[in-house]
Amino acid sequence: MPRLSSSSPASPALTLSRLRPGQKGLITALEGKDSRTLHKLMAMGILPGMTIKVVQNSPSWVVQLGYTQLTFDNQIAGAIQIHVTP
Amino acid sequence: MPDIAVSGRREPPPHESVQGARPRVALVGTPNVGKSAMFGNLTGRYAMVSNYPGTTVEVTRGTASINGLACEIVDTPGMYSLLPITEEERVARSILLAERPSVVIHAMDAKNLERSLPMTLQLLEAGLSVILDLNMMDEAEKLNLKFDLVRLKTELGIPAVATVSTTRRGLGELKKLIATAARPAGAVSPVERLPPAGRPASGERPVDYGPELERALEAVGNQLRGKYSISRRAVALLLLQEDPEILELVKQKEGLRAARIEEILAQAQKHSPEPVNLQIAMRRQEYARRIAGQVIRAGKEGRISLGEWASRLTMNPVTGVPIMLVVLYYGLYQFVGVFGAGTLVDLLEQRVFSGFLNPVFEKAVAYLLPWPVWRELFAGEYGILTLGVRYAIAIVFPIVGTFFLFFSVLEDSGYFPRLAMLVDRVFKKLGLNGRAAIPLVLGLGCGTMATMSTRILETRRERIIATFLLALSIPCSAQLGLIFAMLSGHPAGLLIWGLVVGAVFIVAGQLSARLTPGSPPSFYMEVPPLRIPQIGNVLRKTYMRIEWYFMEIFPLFILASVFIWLGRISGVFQLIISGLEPVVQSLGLPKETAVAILFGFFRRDYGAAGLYDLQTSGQLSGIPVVVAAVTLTLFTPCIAQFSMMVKERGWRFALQAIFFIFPFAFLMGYILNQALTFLGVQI
Ligand SMILES: Nc1nc2c(ncn2[C@@H]2O[C@H](COP(=O)(O)OP(=O)(O)O)[C@@H](O)[C@H]2O)c(=O)[nH]1
Repeated sequence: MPRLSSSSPASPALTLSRLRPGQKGLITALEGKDSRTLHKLMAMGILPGMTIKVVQNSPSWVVQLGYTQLTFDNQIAGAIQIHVTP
Repeated sequence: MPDIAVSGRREPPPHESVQGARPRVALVGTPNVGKSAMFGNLTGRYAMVSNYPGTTVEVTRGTASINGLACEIVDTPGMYSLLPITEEERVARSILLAERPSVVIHAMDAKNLERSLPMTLQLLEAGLSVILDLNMMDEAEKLNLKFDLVRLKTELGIPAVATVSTTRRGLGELKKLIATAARPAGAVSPVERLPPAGRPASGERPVDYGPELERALEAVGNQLRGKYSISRRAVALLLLQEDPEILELVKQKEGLRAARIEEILAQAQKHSPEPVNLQIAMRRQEYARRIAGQVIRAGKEGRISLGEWASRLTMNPVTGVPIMLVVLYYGLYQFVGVFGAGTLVDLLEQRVFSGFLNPVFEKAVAYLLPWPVWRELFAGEYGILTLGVRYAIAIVFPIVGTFFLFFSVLEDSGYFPRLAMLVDRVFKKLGLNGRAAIPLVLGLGCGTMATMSTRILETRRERIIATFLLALSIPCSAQLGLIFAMLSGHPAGLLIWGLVVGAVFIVAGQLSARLTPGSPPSFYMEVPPLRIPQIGNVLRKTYMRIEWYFMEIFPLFILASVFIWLGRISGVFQLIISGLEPVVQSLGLPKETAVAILFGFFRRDYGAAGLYDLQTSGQLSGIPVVVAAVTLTLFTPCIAQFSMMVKERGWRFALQAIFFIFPFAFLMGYILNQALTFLGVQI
C-alpha cells in the first residue's frame, strides 16, 4: 500500500471524509490502495501542504483548492489525510 | 468535456502531414481552459477533426496565417501533466514528442496560474519553445486578481500574454509572439534551438530537485546516447517517475546501457525517503507557488459571484436533481425529440423527400435504368436514393444534428462534470462511475459514437459494462425520436416503454456489476465554472461532429441499402423474414414488423423508421405499438455499433453480447405483450 506523505502529522491522522461542508484542512499525506488514483490526484494538484475546503459531501464530494473545484467519491476522500485548520 | 468528443475520421498519420514545411503550433493545457476557443480564433473556419492514429481521441487541426506566416495549428486533448494517465493525455504527449511543434502555447485559466505552472515547467524541461497564455483574464479580473506579466516573463524566461479567447482580447499580441517564435527556427528541432533572448541559461532546468535526485538525473542523462525529441533531462525525469512507455523507448534506443539505467533508477527509488514521484511533484509545486506568489496580486476578495451561486445550485442534490431533469427534459425530449424528430423530420421527410425529391428520383431512375432489378437498387421501396439517402438526411440527420447541438452546449457550459457528480452514486451500483454519464448520454445520440467514447472510462471492466448497456438498453436519438413520435399520442404507452427499458437498464447494470470481474471504479473530475456557452464555439463543434457523421455514418446507410437489395434479390431476406414472422406474431405484432426488425440491424433507426411507417399507415396500433417499441429498443445495436463493439472489445465479447441480446429482446416483448393483454391495458 503506497503511502505518500511529506511530513508526519503531529495530530492523529484524519481523512478528508471526516470533514463537513465549510470546513478546511491542510493536506498532510495521500494514502490509498490504487497508485493510479494517487498519481491523478498529484497531477490535478492535490498535494501535501495545500489547503482544501469542503464545499459539499453529498451525493459526491466537492472541494475547493485555490480557485479550482474538484469532485470525487468517498473512496478518494478517504485517501486524503488532513489536519483540520480553522 | 471534458473532452469527450471522440468523433473524428481516420486520416493519414499527422506526422506525415502534407504541411510538413509549415511551422507547427500546438495548443496544450488542461481541459476547459479555452483551447478550442483560441484555436477557433487563430484558424478561423478551416479546421478538421480527426482521430489520432490508433486511438479514438479527437484532435483538431487547422491552418492559419499568423501575421503573414503560414502555420499549422494543433488543438491537443486536455492534459494535466507530461506523465500521462488517460488516453487523452497520452495522445497530447505523443503530439508533443512525435510532431515536435515549433511553438507550444500553454493555455491556462489565469486564476489557476499556480496550479498550471508545474506543467509549464515540464514543457520547459522538455526543451519545447513555450508561450504562456493566461486566458480567461476576464474571470480573473472579476476576482480582483492582478498579474505582473513582466515579472512572470523574466522569472521563467519565456513570453507570456493575457487573453480572453471569447472576446479575442490579447489575440493580436499572441499572434505576434507566435510569429516571432515560429519564424526563425521553424524547421529546427526544439532541442537544438538556442533559447530565446532573455531566457536564463538554466532554461531547461528551472527546478532543482535536490542533491539526491539531481545526481540520479545526471547519471541517467549520461547514459542516454540515443536521439530523443525532448531533452535528456526530461527523459530522465520521466524515467524517474516510472513512466512505462518512456522506459520501453529507452530500452530500444540504449540497448545494453538500459540495464545500467534501470540500476540507477532503482537506487534512486531505494534511497529516497518518500516516493520519487511525489518528491518531484512537490518540488515543482513549491517553485510554482513561489512564482505565483510574486506574480499575482490579490485585491480584496470578491463576493460569491452569481456564477458560483448558480454552480452550487446545480450540484446541491436538492436543487441539482430537478435542474438535471429539466435540462434533460428540455434538451433531449423537447429539443431533440419533439423539435428534431418531430418538426424537422416532418418538414424534410414530407415536404422535401416524399413531396419533391422521391418522385424526381423515381422518374430519373425509371428513365435512366430500364432493368427493374437495377431500378430497385436506387429507387423504389428500399432503394439507395429513396430509402438510404432519405433516412440518412430526412430522418436521422435532423435528430442527430439537434442532439449534437445539445451535446455541444452541455459540453461548453461545463455542465457535464456536474451531471457526473450527481449520478456517480447511482452509477456505482451499476458498476460504473459518474464519468460514464458521458458515454451513456452520448448513447442517446448515437450508439456507435458512444461505444467509441467508452474509452474515456478508465478500467476495462467499466468499458465492458458500458458497452453492454449501450447495446442493450440505450436507444439512440434516431430510435428515440421515432419512438417518441410513435408514442407521443399515448402517454400510458410512453410510460410503460420508459419503465420497462429503465428497469432493464438498472437490472442489467446491477447484474453486470456483480458478474464482471475487477475492482469497483473510482470517480474524480475537475469542476469548471459554469459558463454561458459561446455560440461560435458550440456551432463549430456541432458542425465538426455533423461532418464526422456524414463521413462515417452516411456510407453505412448506402451500404445498408445495398445489403437490403442483395438480401432481397437473393431471397435470403425472405428466408429470414419468414423465420421471424412467427416470432413477431407470438409477440402479438403484425407480421410486417419482422421486416422492420431485420432492417433494424442494418441501422437501428431503419427499424424504428420502419415501425413508424407501419404505424402511420395504420397497421400497428394499441398494445403492439408499445411491445414493438420495447423489443426494438432492446434488440440490436445496429451493424455500425456492432462493428464498433468488435473493434473496441473484440469478437468474443461482441458475439456474446449479441447472443444474449437477441433472444432477450424477444423474450421481453413476449412477456410484455402477455402482461399487458392479461391486465387489459388500454393504449
Ligand atoms: N469568460 C471566459 N470564458 C472563456 C474564455 N475562453 C473560453 N471560455 C469558455 O470556456 C469554456 C471552455 O472553452 P473551450 O475552448 O471549449 O476549452 P478547451 O476544453 O480548453 O478546449 C467555453 O464555454 C468557452 O466559451 C475566456 O477567455 N473567458
